[in-house]
Amino acid sequence: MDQEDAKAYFLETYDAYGSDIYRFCLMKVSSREVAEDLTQEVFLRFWQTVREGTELRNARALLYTVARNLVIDWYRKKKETSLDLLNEKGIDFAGEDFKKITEHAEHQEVLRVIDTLDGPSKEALMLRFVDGLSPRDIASISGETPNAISVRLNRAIKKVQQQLQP
Amino acid sequence: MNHRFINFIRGLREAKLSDASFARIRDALASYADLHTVPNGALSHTPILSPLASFFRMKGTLYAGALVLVVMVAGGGAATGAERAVPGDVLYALKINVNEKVAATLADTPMEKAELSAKLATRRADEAIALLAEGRLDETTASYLDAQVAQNVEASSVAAATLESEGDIAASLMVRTDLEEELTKRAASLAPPAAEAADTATMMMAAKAAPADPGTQLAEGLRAQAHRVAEARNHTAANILPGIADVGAELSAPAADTAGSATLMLDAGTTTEEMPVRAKIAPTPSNAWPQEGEANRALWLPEGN
Repeated sequence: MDQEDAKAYFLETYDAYGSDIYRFCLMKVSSREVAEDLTQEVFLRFWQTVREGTELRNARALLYTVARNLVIDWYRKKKETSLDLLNEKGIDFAGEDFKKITEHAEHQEVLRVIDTLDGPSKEALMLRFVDGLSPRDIASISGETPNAISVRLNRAIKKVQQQLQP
Repeated sequence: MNHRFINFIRGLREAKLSDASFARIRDALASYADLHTVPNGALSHTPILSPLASFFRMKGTLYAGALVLVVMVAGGGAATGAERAVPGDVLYALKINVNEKVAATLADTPMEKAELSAKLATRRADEAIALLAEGRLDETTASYLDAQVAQNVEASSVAAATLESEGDIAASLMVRTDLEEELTKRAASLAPPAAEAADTATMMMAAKAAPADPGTQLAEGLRAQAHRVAEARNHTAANILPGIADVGAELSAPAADTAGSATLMLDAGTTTEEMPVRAKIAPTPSNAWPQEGEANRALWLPEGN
């Protein structure tokens, strides 16, 4: 594969997943600018991987893994305590971009319920239903087994269902 | 109960890069790629852009030359001509024996296998529709395509069962739901369901008197396969994972605030080295599933390409 093919593949991958990765970052950092910077950085690193000739079996899962690590690095640089907060919260729905969603009364109720979940469950739930990743991909991102993810998802869904009963 | 959760999820999916930011980052990435070029020989085994491209890469220029020749002889405009070939065309053998074989080799996870087999099953049905439109669908071709559909449906079902055994019930449900929907749609294209076609006594009698044409026979075959897929899916949904299935049922319902819109898009996307991932959460059990022949509502649509 030559430069042109590699570049075409790289940009195709960005076209396909750029917005997904941005949303993932945005849910973690709640800042449009930071999320955009992180998205760009994710794909720059992805290009390095392509350049090095690393065999890519699942580009999508790799992108999420890189994004996740970059978010953790970003929190680390920002402040140590923020990282603890991230681990605890998993997802952060604060910020302008989510205002429209979160200010809706009905959505606030859902948000309250989702906030009762632990960080990893929340993350798994979002990756599964918002980003449409399979339990296997989520597992490869978080370094767990697909079964553990499936069980976590199942429990999270049940909990959400119970709490949102009319 | 879950409409609030569903609407919330829908809302979250709205968060996207603005067009301007998307373009800006794309430009920056393109410039970066131009500045940091691929070292010669670094990409001997990655990544694969398309099955056909990988075929060229694997076999070298000999096959590439042969393919160009075939394309020229066939009078087709491009290598993609093979992708549109139907039984009886010169390029059909290339499509079946090269393009699809390469794609099968590349599919190594159960999800990819299930998706690919489902795609091949619907592709055979598409070929029948194309042939019928051209008046070229004879009995032999119809029965060949029918057998091919059955074979691919079976392969997809086996891969979906593997997915279930690995705990990915939702993915299995998605694959089965998509396949049923696609097969039902194509059956309707080949021949409308009997109830619709024969809405008068005269037509019913005519239908009974005349032997079924190949298109009608194949449509019946497709409906039978769709029925089989639906049964397997309902069995899974009802018995194995009611929790996920409940959420699926809710997700399948139209958004409370967007009347008439039953489609919830999630571009799970495709990469060039992956099969498209269909991330459709399907409804279930009992009467929550659409009945056969009824249009299923795609929730998270796949492959934009």
